[in-house]
Amino acid sequence: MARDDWGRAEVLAGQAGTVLRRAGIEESYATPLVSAVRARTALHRGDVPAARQQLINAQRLRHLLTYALPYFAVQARIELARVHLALADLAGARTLMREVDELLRRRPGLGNLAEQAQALRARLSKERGYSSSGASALTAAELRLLPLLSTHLSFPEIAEDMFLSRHTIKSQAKSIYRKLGTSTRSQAVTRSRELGLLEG
Amino acid sequence: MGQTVRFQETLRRLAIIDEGFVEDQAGLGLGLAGISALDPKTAALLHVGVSVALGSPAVCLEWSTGRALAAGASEDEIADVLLAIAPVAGLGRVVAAAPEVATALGYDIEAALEEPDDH
Repeated sequence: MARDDWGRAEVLAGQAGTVLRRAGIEESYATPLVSAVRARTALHRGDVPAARQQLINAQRLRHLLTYALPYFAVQARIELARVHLALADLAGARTLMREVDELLRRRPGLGNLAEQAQALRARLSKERGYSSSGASALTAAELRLLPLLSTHLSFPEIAEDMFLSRHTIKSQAKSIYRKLGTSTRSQAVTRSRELGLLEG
Repeated sequence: MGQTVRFQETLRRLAIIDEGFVEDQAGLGLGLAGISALDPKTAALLHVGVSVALGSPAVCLEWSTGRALAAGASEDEIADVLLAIAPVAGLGRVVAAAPEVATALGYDIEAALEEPDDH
């Protein structure tokens, strides 16, 4: 993509997807980066619905990409943020940029990725607009919580499982409901399934 | 039954500050882009500051902080709003708001205080 060879990028992303599928690891940490490339190439050929679908695929698994895998984690988020920006989804792009910044704080020595992040940060800081926070602005922490909302676990039990305070879980749940335009736990789960953020 | 469901739905949506619902049903314009002389980020930071100064409930603080982030404010800028308003709003207001603002920034102060390190 950096060489402006979009056809080649699409072929390579397709091959990567095939490798993941054959290995039975489609639901892995590698998927968000592949989906990000596919989203960018789809956008380049003007296929916005396909780009949005790839963003959802990446979003569903993004929480797997933590600072334990810093290169994957940062690169995937930078590519995804570029797609959100191209789609004029500032809230989504800014959410990803904040996660990139947090990752770089913990893992600063990522070479060229830090420069790419800096360029993206500068570009985002010039954007004066505001788009209200929808599903694309769900944070990695909220995406991590989402599957647990579909279980029978209470908020205190979830908090214990995730080593977080009950207050944080409650606050994250409210934020999820707000971003999904729902007002109950079951509505949030249903909406997440409709969006493809949770398995049906 | 219908009435019961409606009032419950109304209260739930108010309790989480469902923006669409509040705008449509309570007639409150929550948009940040319509303020001509202030850019959305500045307006959103002001919302945070005023929410803190008024002693607003936790959900308001979390909501306004989330909007400031969405408008492009950084975590440092938001934390500095608390410092900036402390002399006029009072230390008590700022201290009370800090954990709620932190939660909206993805920082669990309660959990962090239990940790042996400073993360």
